[in-house]
Amino acid sequence: MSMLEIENLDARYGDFQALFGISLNVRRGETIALVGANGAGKTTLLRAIAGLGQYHAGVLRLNGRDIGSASPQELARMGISMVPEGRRLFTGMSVAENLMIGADLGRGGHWVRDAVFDLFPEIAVMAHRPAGLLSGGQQQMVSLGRALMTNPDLLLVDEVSLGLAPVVVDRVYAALAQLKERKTTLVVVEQDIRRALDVSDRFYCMLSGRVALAGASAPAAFDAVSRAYFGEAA
Amino acid sequence: MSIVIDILINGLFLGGLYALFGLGLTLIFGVMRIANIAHGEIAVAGALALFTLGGNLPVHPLVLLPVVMVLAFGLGWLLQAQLINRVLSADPMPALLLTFGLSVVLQNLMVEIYGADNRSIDIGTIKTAGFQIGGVTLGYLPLAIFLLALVLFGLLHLGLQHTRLGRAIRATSQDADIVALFGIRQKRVFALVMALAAGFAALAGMLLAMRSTITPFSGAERLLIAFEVIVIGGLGSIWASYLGGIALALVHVASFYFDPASGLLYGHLTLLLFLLLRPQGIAGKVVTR
Repeated sequence: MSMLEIENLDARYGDFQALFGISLNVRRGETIALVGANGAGKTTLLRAIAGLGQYHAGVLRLNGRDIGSASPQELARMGISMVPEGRRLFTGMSVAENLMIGADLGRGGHWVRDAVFDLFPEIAVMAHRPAGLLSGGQQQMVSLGRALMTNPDLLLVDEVSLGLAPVVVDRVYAALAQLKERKTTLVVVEQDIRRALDVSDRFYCMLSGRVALAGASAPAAFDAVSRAYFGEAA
Repeated sequence: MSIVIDILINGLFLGGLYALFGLGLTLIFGVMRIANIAHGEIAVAGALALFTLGGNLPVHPLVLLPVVMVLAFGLGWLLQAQLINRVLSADPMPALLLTFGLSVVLQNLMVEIYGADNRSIDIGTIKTAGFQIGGVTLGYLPLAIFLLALVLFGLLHLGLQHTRLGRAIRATSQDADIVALFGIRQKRVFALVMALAAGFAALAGMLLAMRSTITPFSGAERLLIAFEVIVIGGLGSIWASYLGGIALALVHVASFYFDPASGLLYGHLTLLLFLLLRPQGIAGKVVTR
């Protein structure tokens, strides 16, 4: 059974329709990549899953349960967590406090502060520094750590590479690979097709609010995904 | 020289009371980014509630301070949860208009019940009792109010910095959208903040009515004091409000010595100077959006 099932999801911002009949599923322990250009609807879809954005038609199920009317707070307690685009840290609070906000949800599990610091030793020495004073890469690690501290069943990761130097992106993706090895269920939004295919088991390529192509992630899929990404006929 | 010391000490003591007026407003603005125009009326309502309770119960008014604070806490929660939360949006205007409407309703309600007379809460001889140090007379009541404010600010600081609830409040003040991902119900945090603000406002109103007099029309002046405190002190920290309270009180006390007919004029001029020369206040943080 799929952990997350989405059927025919439509979402609008006023008169503008951002998603058209999206259907996808995520199995437990699987890493899914959502690829697509700017404005393809990836973040809108992720926000709808996390309960932050409204959708207007369709069905969302988590472990077989309809979560269509659940608030983001209820979804967080059910085990959905998110690393938002732009990191969105509480910049006036320390690194440790940002992580504690995740732990305050009270779900318990493997991800405690020391486990996050083992994953990201870079931020361990900055535990008491205000998060706003960290570099972009360090902030991304804190954002990922904060989401992990909720001990999620399903982790949504939105554009972790945005605005970061390639070497820092490598570091963050190495951490995502570690999470994948731990069988953490991940949905990773990414514009970089190669990185997305490298880290994931399956992919969904979105174009103008629709799933243009879906399949198993493999280096051989790169050309087909590239064509779908830019709206070229296969 | 003794005049200077007198001004400094009396300004310091009065500053504690002013800081309490500003505290609620700075909490509300810091977390919800709105201004509660009914803040002054809630302070006055607290004082009048104590006046009523004190007149009907055989206990000293000081004992009733926490009782009225709890009542104000409940009123604040109710106002936020049932009214203000319904109009909160990216546009602060609906909330501003709603709290303006609440201030008018509360003021008229108080006039209806209590009339327009000046009132003071009788706490006996404590009100005027004092002691002398080095030729300077210190009042017990102003000193007690200053210390009470200091203790309350300290407790609030500890609560905000070292408790789960405090973390939730500070996180909500920084990003009210994203906290939902961590199970925090923003509107409950808003209700809690408004409740705390109403409790502190009511306390400030009661303490003022012990030191001086109030009428149902005193709310606007108290609101102005609260605004001046947070502008002069700066936003971003409750201690900035404390500094703002002391600074404004020093200006008021000094102007009463040297130009008794000026009323609150020099306080208002200080506000203007800060807005022109240091809009972030004494200890506020510069926020760029």
